[in-house]
Amino acid sequence: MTWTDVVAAVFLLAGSLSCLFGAIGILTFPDVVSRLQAATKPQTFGLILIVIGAALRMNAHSASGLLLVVLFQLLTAPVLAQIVGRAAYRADSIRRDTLDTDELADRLHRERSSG
Amino acid sequence: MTDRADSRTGERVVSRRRPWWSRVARKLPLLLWLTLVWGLLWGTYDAGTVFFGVLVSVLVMSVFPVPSISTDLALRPLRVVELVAYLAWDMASSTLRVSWQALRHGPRIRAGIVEVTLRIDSDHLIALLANGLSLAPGKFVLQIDRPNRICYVYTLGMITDPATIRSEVLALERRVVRAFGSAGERERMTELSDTGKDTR
Amino acid sequence: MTVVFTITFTLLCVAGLLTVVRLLRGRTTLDRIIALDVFVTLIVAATCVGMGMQLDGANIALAAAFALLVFIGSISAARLVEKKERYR
Repeated sequence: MTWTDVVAAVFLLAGSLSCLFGAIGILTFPDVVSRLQAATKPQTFGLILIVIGAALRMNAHSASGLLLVVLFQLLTAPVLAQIVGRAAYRADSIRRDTLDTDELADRLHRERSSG
Repeated sequence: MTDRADSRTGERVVSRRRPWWSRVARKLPLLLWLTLVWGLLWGTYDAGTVFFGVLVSVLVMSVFPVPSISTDLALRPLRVVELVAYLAWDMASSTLRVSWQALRHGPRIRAGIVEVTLRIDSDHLIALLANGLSLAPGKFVLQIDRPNRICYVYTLGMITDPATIRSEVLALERRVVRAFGSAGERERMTELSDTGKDTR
Repeated sequence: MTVVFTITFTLLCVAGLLTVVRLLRGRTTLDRIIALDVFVTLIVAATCVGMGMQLDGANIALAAAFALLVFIGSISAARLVEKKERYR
């Protein structure tokens, strides 16, 4: 094993662990919005680490395409989080009893009672 | 976009057709970007690939035309690197935090939605800020009230004091403006900060 | 190095299994959309690991196309759910 192999191994293991923790979060968190947190972000982070780990072992020619995978993931993950999160809030799939503060509901309530 | 200055002079700009070289120049960044992606897909940038990349890009752009938007974003490379480094660190540390919360609290996790009034007033900057916020685990922008510059941020984890979340969001906002904000936006920002309006 | 790849694949497989459990238990459509999205991301990750193992970049276009396709699919499904909510 060379030094690049060792570094690549660390990245690969850290990445797959991050993916695993994300999956545990999806299973255990109580509502859609909190599951969304566990779903999109640790997965993205894990994928980035895995891609770095894989790219370290490959030649520059093949590694350039891996950059594209990371780029797509970084661009799309926040958009997906925002759209699914908003849909969940509108569809009432959010568990109000887990919220400590909800200033959006406060505002909607104010607007309804005043108008 | 629809800045105050733009809306005043808007009619004059629309009625005068731009010269052909200006219209081509405005499409150039998209063409370069599409060619870049094409090259990345093939993994090389030799003459043949670039030629067909440009060809395919022109084809795509004429079949699916998008309106060209004008933006007043500026770019300060050093600050952009700083922002990217900050986001990367944020992502790593909060992935660890969310993983720990998933193992430790699981179904009994607490969360909160906090209202933050932004100081920036540009569509692109707000979009950049929202994407940057949503990139790190544990936070994302649920709703944006554009006219009043209010965004509602969902945060995972116990919220003892909404003010800390607010100051975190405003700190990221400052970094985004430093990296991409136009001179006008940066001035606005320091003005609002000096008068102490940024606390809420 | 073989050990590392075995562990990596095993961890990804366990993660995939957990997401499939969420996919089946669901509760709401949005839960299932999220679970499916994560599942495909895991497949993309596994494809990348495979490329790192075989030192062969032939599947890169596949991984990139997968990452984009699942995004478009999830977005359309989520928008559909939101629309249905509004007209109910």
